[in-house]
Amino acid sequence: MNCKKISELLTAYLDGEVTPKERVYIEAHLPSCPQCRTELEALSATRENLHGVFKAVTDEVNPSPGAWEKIRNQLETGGKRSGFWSSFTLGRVVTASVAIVILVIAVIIWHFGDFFQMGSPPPATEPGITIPGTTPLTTPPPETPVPTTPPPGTPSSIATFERLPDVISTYGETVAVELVFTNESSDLRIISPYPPEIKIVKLPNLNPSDSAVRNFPEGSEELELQPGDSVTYSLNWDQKDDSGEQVDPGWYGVEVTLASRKASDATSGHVRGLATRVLVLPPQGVMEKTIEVNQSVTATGLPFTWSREEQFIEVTITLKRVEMTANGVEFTVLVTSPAYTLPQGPELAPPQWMLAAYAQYTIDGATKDAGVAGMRPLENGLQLQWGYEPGNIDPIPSDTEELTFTITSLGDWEGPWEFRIPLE
Amino acid sequence: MTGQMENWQSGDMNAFEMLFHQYEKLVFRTAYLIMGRRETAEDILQEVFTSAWRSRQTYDPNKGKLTTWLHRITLNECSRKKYRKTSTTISLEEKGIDPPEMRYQSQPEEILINKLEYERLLRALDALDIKHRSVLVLRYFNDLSYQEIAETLEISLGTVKSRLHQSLRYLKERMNTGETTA
Repeated sequence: MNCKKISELLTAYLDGEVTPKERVYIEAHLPSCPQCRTELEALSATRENLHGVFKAVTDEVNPSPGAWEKIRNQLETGGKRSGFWSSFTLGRVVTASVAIVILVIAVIIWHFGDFFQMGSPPPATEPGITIPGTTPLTTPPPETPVPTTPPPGTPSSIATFERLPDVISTYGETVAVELVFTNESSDLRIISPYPPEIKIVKLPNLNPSDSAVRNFPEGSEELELQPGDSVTYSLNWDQKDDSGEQVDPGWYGVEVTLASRKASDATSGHVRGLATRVLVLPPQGVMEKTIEVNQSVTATGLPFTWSREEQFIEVTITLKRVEMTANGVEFTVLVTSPAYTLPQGPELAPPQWMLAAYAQYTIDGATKDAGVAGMRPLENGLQLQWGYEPGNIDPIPSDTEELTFTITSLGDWEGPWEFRIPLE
Repeated sequence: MTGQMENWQSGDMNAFEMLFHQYEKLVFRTAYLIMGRRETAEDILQEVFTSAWRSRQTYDPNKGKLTTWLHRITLNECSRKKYRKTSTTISLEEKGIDPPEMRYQSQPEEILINKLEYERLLRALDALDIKHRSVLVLRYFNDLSYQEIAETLEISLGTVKSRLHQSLRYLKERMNTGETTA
């Protein structure tokens, strides 16, 4: 049994759900395989945390005291709750009411409010995450974790690193990054291993498990850091991947896993995240212009659940503008409906899946992911933007002949809705 | 218990009330973890027991446990609802919930780290779809065996295995900061 097969059995092994034969294979393999042992430990810790989080969350919640009375009433009167789908009839189909649209928009405001509270100005842009072997998740992922700085007022108890400004590099040039590791705790800490594990990942980081293009293995040393002290480590990346090939132009991230332990009691922890982003410019140069596209498509029969009933609405999707800059591209889309009005408040329930709008773009036949859109309700419709933050969409090479933009899904509504952008 | 069972199955509302009180928390909390919203979990609780009463004759104690049957109805209701869980509705920070017993003795700073770790885990769970979140809840909240999960969701044992492993690995990868004892 090989490593891959073993690692796929590790969850079942922890759960005591492997066959005796599998158990023998696993237990024979583990002592000689550090990777599988690390994987097992990490899965085990996640499993325990999950137990803990489920318990913590549910200990506090109970059904309301009147629940039984409601059920009894309903059963005795023979009353039927209006089910999600049960009272849906064709006669009610095309009622794209103002209320529905208000709900959609209110949800977006609610979502924005959430982001603002968290202090992140634009909404999350990290595209959907795919678990290998499954279909991509159709929900908006949470914001990209920023591991370097704990929330204000939170004393960090571990060694961390700073987020550095983006690095713009020409094609083929060696990229030099000065990483700064700091002991933010009040104890003497030991960074181990040193240098830490560093990976160059292609952005957007769609699938963290296999997005690394270049791995800089961890060192075999340890480094002591006094409380508050920093150390600088110079990383030189020659823009090559693990097989020695020059990487394609575009955005990359320098991902660091910094592990350290307290000198006094060996309590250890690690921080993993992007230390900086690197843009490798295309050798032929970058197309820099703004195109007012203003192409529209109308999508009809989009299912929407309102007041427990499924109804269908119609929306017009307009690609307003494409702004191509040296840093990337921004696609601006406006979604309108005849009944659209600006919502007045965020008090309505949020069907959150509505918020994930995914898109792709194709440059001369090569398709790339544009990730998930940021949303903003405007007077005349809902504005969606892809690529407003560097690192999500690579700059367009100057000799591009064909560029198309395709919205693959708007929440639960599956596209595609395609737009061809006139580059001439 | 068997007597009570027969009674509710033959239409005794008082016996059904006892059954409700015995399992209401289980159903409610399962629904809450999967859907992430209290009101939705309340709705599901009501729908599960209404539906259990109406289809009481279809339950055969010889073919499976009552909890499996209830879980199946609960999961069906959840996937029909499809409301997405939101991190604002389940949040340790907002509810001021302290993490339960840690797997090692913690100092205050470690408790804080764990609390943050729990938050991060909730957000990671939030990004999973119902299909994957359901297997995690059935396994790590309800402590169902893989076979019981397979019966509840009416999927194969192999699917349970791979779905659980994918979900756990996904969560593991989303947990960017960890604290462990060396």
